[in-house]
Amino acid sequence: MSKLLKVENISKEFQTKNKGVTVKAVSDISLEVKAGTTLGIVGESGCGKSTLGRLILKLLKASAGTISFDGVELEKLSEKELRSQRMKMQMVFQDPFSSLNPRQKIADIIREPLDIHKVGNMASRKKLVEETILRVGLSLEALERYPHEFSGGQRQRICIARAIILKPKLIIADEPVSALDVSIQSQILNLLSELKRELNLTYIFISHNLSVIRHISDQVAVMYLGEIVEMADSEVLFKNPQHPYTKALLSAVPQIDGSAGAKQILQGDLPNPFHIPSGCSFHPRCPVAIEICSSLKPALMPNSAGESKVSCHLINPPKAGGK
Amino acid sequence: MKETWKKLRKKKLAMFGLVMVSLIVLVAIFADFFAPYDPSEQFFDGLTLQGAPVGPSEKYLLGTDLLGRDLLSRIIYGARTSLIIGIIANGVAILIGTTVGLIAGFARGKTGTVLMRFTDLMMAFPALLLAITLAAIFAPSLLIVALVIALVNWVQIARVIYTQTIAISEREFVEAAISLGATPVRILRKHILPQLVPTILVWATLGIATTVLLEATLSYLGIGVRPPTPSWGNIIFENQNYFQSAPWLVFFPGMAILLLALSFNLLGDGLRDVLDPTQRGKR
Repeated sequence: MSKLLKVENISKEFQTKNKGVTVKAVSDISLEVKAGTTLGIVGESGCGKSTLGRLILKLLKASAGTISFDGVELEKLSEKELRSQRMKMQMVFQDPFSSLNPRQKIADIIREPLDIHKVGNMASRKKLVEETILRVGLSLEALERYPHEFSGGQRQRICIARAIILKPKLIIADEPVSALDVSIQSQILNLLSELKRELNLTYIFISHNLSVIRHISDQVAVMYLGEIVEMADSEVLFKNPQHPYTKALLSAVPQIDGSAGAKQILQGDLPNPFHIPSGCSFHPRCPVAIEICSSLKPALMPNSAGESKVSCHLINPPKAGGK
Repeated sequence: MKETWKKLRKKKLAMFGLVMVSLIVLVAIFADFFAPYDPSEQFFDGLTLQGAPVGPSEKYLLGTDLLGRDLLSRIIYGARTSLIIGIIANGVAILIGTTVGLIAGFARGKTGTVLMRFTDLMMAFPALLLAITLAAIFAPSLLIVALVIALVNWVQIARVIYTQTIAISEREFVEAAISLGATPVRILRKHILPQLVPTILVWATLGIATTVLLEATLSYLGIGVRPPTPSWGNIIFENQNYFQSAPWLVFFPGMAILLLALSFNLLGDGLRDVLDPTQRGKR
């Protein structure tokens, strides 16, 4: 299958108020997404996963790196060209309460992408809006109402309707279910899965919830402090985690049979992003860290079996005199 | 539009405001018809033998002023001046203030800094000094007075709109609109401006009273509306020294200003509720 999205060495630094101090939210990330697959991005709060999503959509300007989407390098586009490119990539936001304009009717909200990109005439737009609202499981009478009259799950359906109406190629979903009740979460996840099949969508699914990621992803990237520490097919990653951080994350998922399992509790907190540790950024909390970890930064490389990419010296021992 | 009207009609206070505003406007337009006398005519029996104004009587319903002119006629003609000032001065002030605040709040960066520092400068500048300078440069006329008031009054509105625009720009639905590919103009028009409507309405209604009073101050300094043209503000100022002996001279024009401001406030409140969809179905 063809590559829809290719991100190379992307970084994002935020300047703080007192000049000279920068926070690296995303550092040197490269990844590829094949058309028709779902890439899950998982990590703790503040690890830069939402920033990564916004960088890919060019909602934030990257400090370095390139993004090519559907064969087009996004950096090279003018503002106008970028706006028309946005037809093909859409976003579903975390908070369905703030991502809808409270003063617009649902019909206007869902029709907005069509208005912006001047698709069809008024009659065909209206028809498409009606088809789409039914497709996401709401009724036609919803169109004449305002966002505050809906529940969280219904609002997220409206957000999804707005995202799919242009039949985009890529949808970035930033924690789309974490603001919802558990019972509603599964409905929304199922809706997203159905839509993916029907419309041949590609997802980047950002979440901190491992079960959700496992349910929906084909590929999973684990992020820690702005870097990807492990990336593999979903099945491989959950069955055979390589990186100590991934192992710790997976062992923290409660098991349904109640067996405690060998829980691996990480020591300490997430380091202050102002002072990212030297060497491997995970080494101060890593239970199996060795000497070299504090001085040499590991690179994201395929492991010996070739099925996962891991950035850890224990999995991929540094060559003597390596970089 | 039709829907808004339907909802507005259910609001008694707002309808009362609308009726009062319409009445004042009608009276102002057809002043010749409503006023019993010429507002500038000095009546021989309009002053007592000692030269004091006479109180309300059958002939002079609201009494006469210190020059023996009929107060009711002057208030009716004064409605013209005060309404024109209130609407034009206030309208222009809101237009300038909203535009500056909106652009500064949305663009931020250098544009925003330059615009807002300029606003601060205007705010720190003594309003009356500015008004006197402007009035000295241009020959005083009703329109110039209105524009001078607007140039003094837009700064506070710009500040309020600026902060609100920044707050709204940070909301996720604005980011969502950007991600859909909306142009900045569209985002301002469809997503930011509608959220500012309540603020603008409140300022518009509050501003009516302040502008009418500022016009009175300017009249008092001789740079406002030229006598003998009456305005509600200058009637009060002309007669304020007689407040103790002839209180009606201050009371009635004061009531007129109060009524105008109150009517616009009630109408503005009603409109704000009706235009806010989250208030639908609530009282």
